[in-house]
Amino acid sequence: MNAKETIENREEITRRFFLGWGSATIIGMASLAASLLTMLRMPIPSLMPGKAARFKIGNKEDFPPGTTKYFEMEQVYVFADQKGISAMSAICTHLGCIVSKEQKQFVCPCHGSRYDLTGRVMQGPAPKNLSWYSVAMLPSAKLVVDRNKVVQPGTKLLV
Amino acid sequence: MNEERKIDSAVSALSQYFQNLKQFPQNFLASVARHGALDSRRARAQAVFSNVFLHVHSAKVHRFSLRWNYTFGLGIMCVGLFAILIITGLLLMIYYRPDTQHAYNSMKDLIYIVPSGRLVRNVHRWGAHLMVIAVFLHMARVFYTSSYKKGREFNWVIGLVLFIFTLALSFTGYLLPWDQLAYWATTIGANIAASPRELTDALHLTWIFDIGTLQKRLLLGADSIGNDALIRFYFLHSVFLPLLLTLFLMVHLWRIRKDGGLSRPDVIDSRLLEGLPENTMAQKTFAAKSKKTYNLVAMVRGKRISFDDDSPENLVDTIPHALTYEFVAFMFILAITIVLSYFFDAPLKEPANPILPENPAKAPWYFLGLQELVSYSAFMGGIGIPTIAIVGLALIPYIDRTEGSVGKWFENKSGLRLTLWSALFATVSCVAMLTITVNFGWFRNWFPQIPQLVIIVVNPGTILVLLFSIWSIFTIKIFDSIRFGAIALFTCFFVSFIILTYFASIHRGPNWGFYWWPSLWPIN
Amino acid sequence: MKILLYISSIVVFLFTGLFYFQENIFAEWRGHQLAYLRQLKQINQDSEHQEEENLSIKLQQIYLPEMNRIDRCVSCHVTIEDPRFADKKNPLKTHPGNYLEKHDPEKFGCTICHDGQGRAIVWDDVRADSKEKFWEKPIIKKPFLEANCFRCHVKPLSETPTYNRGKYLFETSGCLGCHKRDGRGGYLAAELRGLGDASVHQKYPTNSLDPKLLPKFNYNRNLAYIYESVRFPKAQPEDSVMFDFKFSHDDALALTVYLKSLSIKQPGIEKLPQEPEKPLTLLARGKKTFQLFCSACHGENGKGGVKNRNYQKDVMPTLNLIAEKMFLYEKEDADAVIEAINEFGDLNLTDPEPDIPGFNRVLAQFTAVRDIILNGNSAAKKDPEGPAPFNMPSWRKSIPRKDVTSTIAFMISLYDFEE
Repeated sequence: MNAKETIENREEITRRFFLGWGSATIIGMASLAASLLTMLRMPIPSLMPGKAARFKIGNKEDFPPGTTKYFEMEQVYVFADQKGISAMSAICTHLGCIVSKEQKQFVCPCHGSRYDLTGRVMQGPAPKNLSWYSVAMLPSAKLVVDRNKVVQPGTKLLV
Repeated sequence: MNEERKIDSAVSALSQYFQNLKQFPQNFLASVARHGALDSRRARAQAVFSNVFLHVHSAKVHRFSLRWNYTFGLGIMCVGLFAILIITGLLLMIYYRPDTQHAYNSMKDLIYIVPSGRLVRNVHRWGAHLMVIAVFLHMARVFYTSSYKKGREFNWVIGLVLFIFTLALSFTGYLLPWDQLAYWATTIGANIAASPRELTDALHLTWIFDIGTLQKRLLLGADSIGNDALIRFYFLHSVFLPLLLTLFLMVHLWRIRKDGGLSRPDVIDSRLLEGLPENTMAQKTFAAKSKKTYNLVAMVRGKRISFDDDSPENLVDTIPHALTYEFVAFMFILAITIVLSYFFDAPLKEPANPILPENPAKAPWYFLGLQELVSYSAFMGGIGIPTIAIVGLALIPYIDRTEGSVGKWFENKSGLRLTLWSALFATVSCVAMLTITVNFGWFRNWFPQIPQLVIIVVNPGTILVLLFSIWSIFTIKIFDSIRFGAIALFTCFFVSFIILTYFASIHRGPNWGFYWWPSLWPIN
Repeated sequence: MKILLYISSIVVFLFTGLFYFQENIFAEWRGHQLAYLRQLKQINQDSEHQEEENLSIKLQQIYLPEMNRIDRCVSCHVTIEDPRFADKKNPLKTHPGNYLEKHDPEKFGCTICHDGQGRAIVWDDVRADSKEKFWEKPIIKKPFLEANCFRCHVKPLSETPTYNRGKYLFETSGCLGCHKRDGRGGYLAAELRGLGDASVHQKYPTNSLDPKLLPKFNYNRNLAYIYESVRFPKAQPEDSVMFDFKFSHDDALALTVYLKSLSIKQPGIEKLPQEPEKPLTLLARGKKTFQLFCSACHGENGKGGVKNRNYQKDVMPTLNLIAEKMFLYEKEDADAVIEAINEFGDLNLTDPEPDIPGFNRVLAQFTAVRDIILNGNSAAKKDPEGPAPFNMPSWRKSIPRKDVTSTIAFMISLYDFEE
């Protein structure tokens, strides 16, 4: 018999060894993977830094019909008319620049998207209309805008 | 020409295209792994040999190297902990801010609002402490099994370099949380770096050669610890030292291969091999032991690795045996780290306050022994004695060149007894010196005008060094063996390190005064 | 070896899982938010007014980069602005009073008034009122909470009675005779600005801080220390020369509140503008200055009797008989001098001179007294080998000239001309 051939070809790991150590190794690898995956949750924080999505805008007396207020920290326009108070995002839906308000429209300085006063896209590369945000009244009678809650355009809070 | 092409391809090009697309997965796998399934010894050897990560291993490993109570897997634990520290460290780097205004707050955010932040931070901290311990124990194991002989001298020195890097990494990382503990421990460390001043002042040489201040400024980037120091330490800790350590680690592992493989005793008793994986294949093929040497595969000049007393029956495949044992060692140390992390939070005290020293201001635990010596003389304790110790350690393989048996713990019963006696000697000397200094002080207490130079040369630290050297030389004479002298000296160093570290952590309280127990510290 | 692998793997898996559970499933703040939702459902059921509430359970924070603070209190204290929860228990209780009307939490956060560790999300760590917590400003309770109003407020408020009393006591006990406040005051003792910030774990130079005191102050060493220094001055340091003013417990507490408010400016906060002071009469100004700087050593209303160690005359000079020393024997003369000081500021600057007998003598004495106040005076030792007695310090840097002369006028007015 050619010894070299034997060494090359014959199996040496017994079934007993394979099952015994194999399952132990698999349990070990699984445990290691679980630990690693738990640690890999780190890059996404539980709390995003920055101002909160939900913020108070004042009392209803601060928004008589005909008011337009811009909150520049939160980048939200708040309008008040006979039908109620509404809030709209000032962030262009194309690539995130802040739109500026003109008489009858909003214009984005970056690529020229134009929106009408209800936020509908009239012109430009913007793919979506400007989002309308929910305006609600807290139990303490203060008004609050929630940028996490997008509502149908035209939704107004009657106060 | 057309005919040639027709004869070549049995299938048309287009159908060949689709066939290739279908076979993509298996072709891809085959291209990645340059070996077949691991069902033969040859395949397993090839897998080790051709994989860039695995080929630091030899294809086969001696059974005895895998014995747990020979090496205790300490080397694997060191490397494993280093890997754990790198991974957790990288994750921490996502949130940590190396700026005095934000560092502390970023630590708080890590603990509270980063998912798994507390876990990763604790693992990093306890992993670092465990790594220092593992490195110490690994060094002791290598020493006591004479694994620095027979061509392995340089690797011992590389190991010492790695040891220093480990301590440096731990020290630089200690500052980063920017709390009281960090700030004041680093103050002590930086002033130790400046301590050559004590010597140059005593010799009136400072005006020519102020290396102390130079070192401190290099470390801190300023004269006091602030933003400059923080960013330097961050750079050292996260980039420079890990890179250096990795480089030297590569050399260290490479040298293991070249200097003769993993250490194991020269003479092996078959009883000692019980319980270890057997090379069943070789047993059937080889009836008796035979001499065998392996030539180095590539044309590399140098030693041939010889397995003098070994037969192939004592060699086992790296895959699976060595890898599984390494995995066990790794999982073991990971388990210990995670359990510690669960029960004990890494400390974080108040934000650093430069006008309010911690009392007592203590260095990290592995430097506490040094800090005790530093309390007698800054230069001697901080630089002099550590240098002597490192140089002494580095010289061991070059002074002790006795052939003797490699790979036996303590050499023999005589050696074991010597170790215990040396431990006793070291303990008694340390306790005696400490008793004298605690109760009576030192020269400055008795002779207030004494020149500092005298204290630098004659202080408890240097006296201990002297005592240990005398003991070691005495041993060499009695046993007529350099190796035994080395055992005596190393044991004294090791034991005194442990005793001084213990003493300084438990029995030193505010103002570095002596207290029997931490609960007796004044409520300040 | 295999067994070791199994055990290690199980341990790793188990403890990783425990970490995960602790953080995500058994977290304290989750429990509170869930309890809030349950209570909200109940409230909504009872009332016809349905509220559309934020239903997702997640951490909340108030982000205040100008103040370098982040307050995560609202993760558990979800209902601070919801008046329907006024009768519930903390942390789901409405904030008492109407403080939130004027101090919108979105702009102020919570820790600027209540202290505590804002970035923490575990109540024990937020409170930080035990030794192992290592947070310098633990949550502070009433009445000490009043001190924090004065990080911004300047005028005494109706909501801070203890502070007001403390301020009154401070300004009438002559504390600035030895201490300094904002750089003005005596030389014998520490500057008091910053006392309120002194680290809770600061190692004060004493080991006599009565451990029985600590629990009364919620283990806030800063507060306990201040109280002890005020009520039991000889306790720390043991060789302290501070007088024992024999304050009652309530007064000492009030003083503690006032002293706690003497803190260093916090980043991002501006003090409210100082209202212009009502101009005081000469004698009122003089009285105010006297009470602030002089009364500790020279006695209330200058009656003297305060011991001065190793001083030749044993006690500090009485000052309510100054009129006599200034050769002012009749009330009209004293009044004329006071009038002159009122009009001209300094008796040396009068034009014309007041018409009183022996005005030159009066003027000389006035100048002498004024110069003693401005320049100080050393006290003669009774026993030359003994310790130095307390000297009269120089007030030039601390008291404006106008107030020095008004003090002299006040002291003149203390003389009882009737007898």
